[in-house]
Amino acid sequence: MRLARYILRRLLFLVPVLLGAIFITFFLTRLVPGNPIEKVAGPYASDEQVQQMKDEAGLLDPWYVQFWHYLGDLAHGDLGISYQTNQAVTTDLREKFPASFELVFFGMLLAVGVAIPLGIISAVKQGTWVDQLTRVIAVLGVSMPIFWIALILVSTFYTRLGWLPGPQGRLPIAFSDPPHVTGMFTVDALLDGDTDTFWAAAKQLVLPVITIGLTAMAPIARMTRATMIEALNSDYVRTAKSLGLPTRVIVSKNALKNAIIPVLTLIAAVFGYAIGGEVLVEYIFTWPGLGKYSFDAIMGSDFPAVQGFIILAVAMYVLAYLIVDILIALLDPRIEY
Amino acid sequence: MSAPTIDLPTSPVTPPASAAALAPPFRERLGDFWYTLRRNPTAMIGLFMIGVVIFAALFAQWIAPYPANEIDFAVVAQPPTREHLFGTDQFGQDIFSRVLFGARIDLMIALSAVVISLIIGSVYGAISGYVGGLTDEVAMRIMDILQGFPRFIFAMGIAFALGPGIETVVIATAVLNIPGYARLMRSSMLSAKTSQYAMAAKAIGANHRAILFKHLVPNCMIPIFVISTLQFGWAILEAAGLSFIGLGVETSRAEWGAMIQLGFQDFLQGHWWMYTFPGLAIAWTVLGFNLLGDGLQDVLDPRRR
Amino acid sequence: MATTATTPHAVAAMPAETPMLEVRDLETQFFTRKGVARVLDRLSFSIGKGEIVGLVGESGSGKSVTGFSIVNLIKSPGKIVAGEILFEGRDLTRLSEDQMRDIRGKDIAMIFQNPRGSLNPVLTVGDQLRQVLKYRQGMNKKQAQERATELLRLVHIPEPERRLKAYPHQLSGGMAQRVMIAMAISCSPHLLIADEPTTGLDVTIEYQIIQLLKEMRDLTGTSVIAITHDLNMAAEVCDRIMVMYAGKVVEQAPVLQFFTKPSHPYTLGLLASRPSLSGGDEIPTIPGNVPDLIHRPTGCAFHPRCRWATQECISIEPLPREVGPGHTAACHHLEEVQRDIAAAH
Repeated sequence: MRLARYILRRLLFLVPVLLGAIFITFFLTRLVPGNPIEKVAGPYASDEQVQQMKDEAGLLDPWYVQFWHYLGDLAHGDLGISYQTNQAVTTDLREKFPASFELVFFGMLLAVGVAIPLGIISAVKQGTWVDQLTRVIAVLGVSMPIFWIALILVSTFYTRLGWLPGPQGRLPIAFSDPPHVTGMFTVDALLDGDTDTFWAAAKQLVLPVITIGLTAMAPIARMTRATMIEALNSDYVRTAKSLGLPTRVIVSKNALKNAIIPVLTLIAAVFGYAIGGEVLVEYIFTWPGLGKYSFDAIMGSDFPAVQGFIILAVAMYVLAYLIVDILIALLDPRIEY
Repeated sequence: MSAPTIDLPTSPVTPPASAAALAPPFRERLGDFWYTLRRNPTAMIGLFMIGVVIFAALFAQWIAPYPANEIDFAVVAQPPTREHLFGTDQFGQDIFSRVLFGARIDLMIALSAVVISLIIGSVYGAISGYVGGLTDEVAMRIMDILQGFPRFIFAMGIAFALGPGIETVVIATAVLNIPGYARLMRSSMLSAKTSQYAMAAKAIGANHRAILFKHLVPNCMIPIFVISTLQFGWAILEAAGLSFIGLGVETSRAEWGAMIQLGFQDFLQGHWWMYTFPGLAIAWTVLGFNLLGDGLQDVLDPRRR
Repeated sequence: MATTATTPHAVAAMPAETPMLEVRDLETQFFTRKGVARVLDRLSFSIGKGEIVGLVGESGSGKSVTGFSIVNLIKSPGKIVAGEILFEGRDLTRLSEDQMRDIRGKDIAMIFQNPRGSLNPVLTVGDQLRQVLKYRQGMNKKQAQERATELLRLVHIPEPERRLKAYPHQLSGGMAQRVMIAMAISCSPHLLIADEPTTGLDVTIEYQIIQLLKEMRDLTGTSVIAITHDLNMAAEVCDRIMVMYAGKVVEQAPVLQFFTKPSHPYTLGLLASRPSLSGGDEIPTIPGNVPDLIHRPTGCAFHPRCRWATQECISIEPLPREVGPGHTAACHHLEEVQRDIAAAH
């Protein structure tokens, strides 16, 4: 019950962020010089036709009227119609979401799964080769452009070595999509009992997931190492040592529980970074997800779609923060909720 | 149980002569700072790497064997040779030369973006901290919103609104970095307001506001320097990312991200040199800034190692 | 408690025939960027069984480093470079890290200043106590729970069952220090090192903690090294007091002797700078600062601050001289000092 109140309080803090994001997005997309209606109408449309279409789209109204309508529609879960696909943006986003989720989910899983143990080991064995390796990964991972990592991985493992499939989306052409359950191909293929499709989908995932994982693991490993070193040098760990507790207990129980708390907040931030990086990754791997969708929308001056994507991305980001806040409240007794 | 008391002379504490006497000796601190920095290998490697890039940017005209935009259809898409160290692109332009000239554009973009966000962010944060109260609250909430955006998505939104071009990249990257400076300046302002020397300045009747700013600036210099090195790295990565997806610098110009985009267009032909070398240039530069930033943080906070 | 306690001990200050702890020529140095700081300088002393010894001195005199050196928990860049720490016949400086870990907690335990910071903020008091009992005493969950409750009761914590579920930030400083003491005595150590255990606590709580330490000694017969800069506290709890200056013991005496016949100029300074309850004007302080341990003064380390200092003090290091039974002081001018004290009266 108290936790529910805490979640509500955090939401009250996060909702203005979301509203602000909607507001900024709305204005940014109205600033665009290229008039989308003219694009949609095509070069042969008469001026009257264009005016009429603008009127129908509500683009002749003053901005505050447009914004008010937009908010009203948004409240009903209506993000408008995409100029390019002629579908409701919400439908488009719902269709594309699982593809991106699969990528980001496994990417973050890889990043967290490697970075946290690496950070812990390098803090415990400061100055050893594991530590040096972690520091190199941590600084290189944030210094290389994500799209370049993707290109290098593809050119190495596909073009040169031929170990993994090329950047051709979620499944090779010979395969058909598994029956839709979750929308994540690997999961759906397994549920369908179709191992061939599962392996094909998994192979397609490897390189983009590694790309996202590599960039996301760098800051997490670095932070884990730093907070872990701080915890190991703390007074309470000194107490644990003075009582002769075994090192493994000190590391895994006494230090880690403290060190992990700031890392969780960072993971939420990295998640936001991964959503952004994903646009580039999907573009390179022709991955039919949200990133590719938003990229096409930008190129086609499709504002409802661009707006819809940005709002969804911010909402995801906010949601990640909320989840992390709740986890921290559960882990850290000092937080009053 | 009482002990015999002995009169031991106590050393008198000299009272501060003026507010200025209480201010930390900035020149001296900077000297110390540079002294420890020079002994930090991470920072020095970073500084060296940045030095190489700055050198390339300044002297590209003389070092580069070809002009940045010399189209030569006789040598289209050639792998690295002695004439073309990094190969050529699909227009026969020399990639080595373009990478060198690219240092100019990329450093200029990053520098402009960092300077713009530094000025806007610092003024914003300083005013917010100085005024305080509800204004401060609202101002900081706006920064929360800006930071609530996933960085790259936000940059894409701005670039989308402004249309492609160097200015677009500068603005999009600058906006992202404003909150960092604003927060730093605000917190420095808050501590300057309550600090000893601000009190002393008030007590001796000096112009309070003038004193505040006079002491604020040197106190913020070093942390701003640290943030800026890291922001430089971010700026270069983001600028390159925007150019790569076609929202930034046009591919006709020798900008690293745009060059990778050109290489990507020929990706399936296996022309690896077209994207590998510009990418290495980005990684080298950003790594330099990150190492310098790391070193600086080590120097400022010796507990972090 | 009574089940595992060693034989209850009569209160007795007896610098025993074979001391339980004997430190010989211990040198602990800190390898800093600016140079090597010789924090402990051929430090020698011994502690008898069941004895409470106060280790006093200004901050920076090496008191705490002495405590951490004994259990070999000196934070880097500090290191023991020479000397012996004979504990119940074994030289601790020669033990491996594993052997040392086995000694910590079971044979030698510590309590620290800032008790709330010394407890783990994200684990409950019960988690932390049971952890020690599980890994150090091999108890199962149920046994550990019972024993933890018993230990809290032993250190006079009311409602122990409820306190076991509390987190450190929910405890007062005094309560947290009681928990620390409960943890420290949980494995019935033979030696308890209390590093400024009452710093930051208010006077009434301080008194309770001191009484508790005495009580634990009486109950378990453990020896205690009480590290403090608070002479009032030392007077209250200790059988014997050792004064440290610049990494050396400059004077040591049984508590009564110490306060009735202080001999070393530094001790006199310390006593004079003690805040007195009678109020009065200013607290006189010892002029000058604790010496730079990287560039130590020659001869007697105290000479730059000493008004009796002569050429001899600058060139020759004084050795401890017998002043009375069990009372030594390391000073060239003990006689002059005594004469001046007598004259002042």
